[in-house]
Amino acid sequence: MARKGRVVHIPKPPKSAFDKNRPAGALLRAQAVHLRHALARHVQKVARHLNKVGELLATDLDAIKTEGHVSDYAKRVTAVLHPRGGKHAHK
Amino acid sequence: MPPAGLDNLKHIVVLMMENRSFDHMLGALMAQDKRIDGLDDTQTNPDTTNTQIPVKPLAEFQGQLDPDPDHHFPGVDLQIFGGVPPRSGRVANMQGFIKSYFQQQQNVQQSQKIMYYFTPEKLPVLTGLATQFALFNGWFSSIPGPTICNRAFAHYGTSFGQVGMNIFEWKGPYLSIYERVLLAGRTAKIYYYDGPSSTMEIVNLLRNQSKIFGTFDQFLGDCKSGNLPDYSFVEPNYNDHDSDSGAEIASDQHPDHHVQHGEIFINNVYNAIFNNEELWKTTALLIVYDEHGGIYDHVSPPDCTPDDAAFVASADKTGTGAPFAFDRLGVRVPAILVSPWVPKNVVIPGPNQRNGRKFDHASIPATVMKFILRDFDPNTLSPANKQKFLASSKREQAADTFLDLLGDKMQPDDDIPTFVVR
Repeated sequence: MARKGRVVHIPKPPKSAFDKNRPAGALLRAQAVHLRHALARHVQKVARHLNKVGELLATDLDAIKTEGHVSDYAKRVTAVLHPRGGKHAHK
Repeated sequence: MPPAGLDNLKHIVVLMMENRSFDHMLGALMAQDKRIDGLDDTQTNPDTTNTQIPVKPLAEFQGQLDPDPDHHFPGVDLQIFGGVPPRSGRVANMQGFIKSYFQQQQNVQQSQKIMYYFTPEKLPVLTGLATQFALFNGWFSSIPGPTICNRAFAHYGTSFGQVGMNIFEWKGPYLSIYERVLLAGRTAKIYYYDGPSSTMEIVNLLRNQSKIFGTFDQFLGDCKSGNLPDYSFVEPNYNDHDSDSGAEIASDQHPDHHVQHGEIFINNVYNAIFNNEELWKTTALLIVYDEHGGIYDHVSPPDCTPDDAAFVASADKTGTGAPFAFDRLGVRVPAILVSPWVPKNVVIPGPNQRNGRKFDHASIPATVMKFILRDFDPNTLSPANKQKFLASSKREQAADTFLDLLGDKMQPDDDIPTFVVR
């Protein structure tokens, strides 16, 4: 519900104000460069993550013999599946 | 006992527009209020034929400042110092604006348009708010340079030595104001307009901090539902684009975007706060521009406390042949503090006036920290987090804050302007 104070009328810009074919200025071009850089950083992060996942998928489970082997594997997989679950349980 | 306005304060909202100088947008207000350090039509700049060209009330909403006036570091240096190269004792005479604009097209007539300013009736929202609430005569951009580094001061209290638009990634020692607010257990958000407009705070913030970003629709929703964070930073629409609801006109007022649409956007932010009565009583809204965009202003930017020694920009970065220690502010920009707790029609004197004060974008994190620290004990943080929370740049440490402008009495609702688009 709009509240009312002292009403002041303001004009609307004409439809011609919109021009998505206007050449992009230095700021918008810089924005695109920064966005691409951020995306590249993001991809690097995802790639590191995927590498880690790939290693875990390629693990030879027949080589897992001991509880220590299982716990080590479980810890690394859980860290991928549930990143916040890595903390020690309180006794 | 703090004044009631400060006692009631729960939210700070900053709306940062683009690339217009104080004189260009608000200078004409001096004709109706002599306290405002604006224009009286005696201000001039020489053109390239050495004719003195006065300021003129001929600014248009669109189509006039094309090409976009230069506002990179060397261009602004020329605008401020009139073409005198860096050397000790040179005077900031504000005499190089036409010369600078001429360099872009070698067109004498076009270059003079940099002296044009708006009359108040053309900007009813900005001038209406400026005369109803608190107008800063002395709010300067943080650096005599372009957008990205100036906006960095609003987010970090420093640009980490950057004076341009280049990509930079900073990993410390200073946290953004959003990270500091979150460390204190409070809430903070940057609301960008929408996906196609995106944010200008990309590399350092978008990377790991998706939780502090929201869209303008979310801002409107958060205002309506009373869920606005303790600190909000609002970005306008930076480009013309299509959306599901039709044509989205850029609202940032960056030349050559339509200034009237920026007026409507400012009003949308203001209205969203005003329309929630509880929010209105508990919110301070700062409307400010990131930098002057190469457009004339008559007030010489003052010296300031240099930033950290590690943040000196080298001569090859500044492009002027001299390094820059961040010891001078950039050109003056419009800044208005809106709150019902601000007495009507306050003008905060600038540095050249009696009891003058100077502000810049480092004043924003400095003020938010003061607001957060008001009843937050940093000793509740771990030693490492406490150190991070309290660390700030020399520029932020020296920056003036503006919460003292909130008083004890509320302005009555029936005197508060409500802008209606027709």
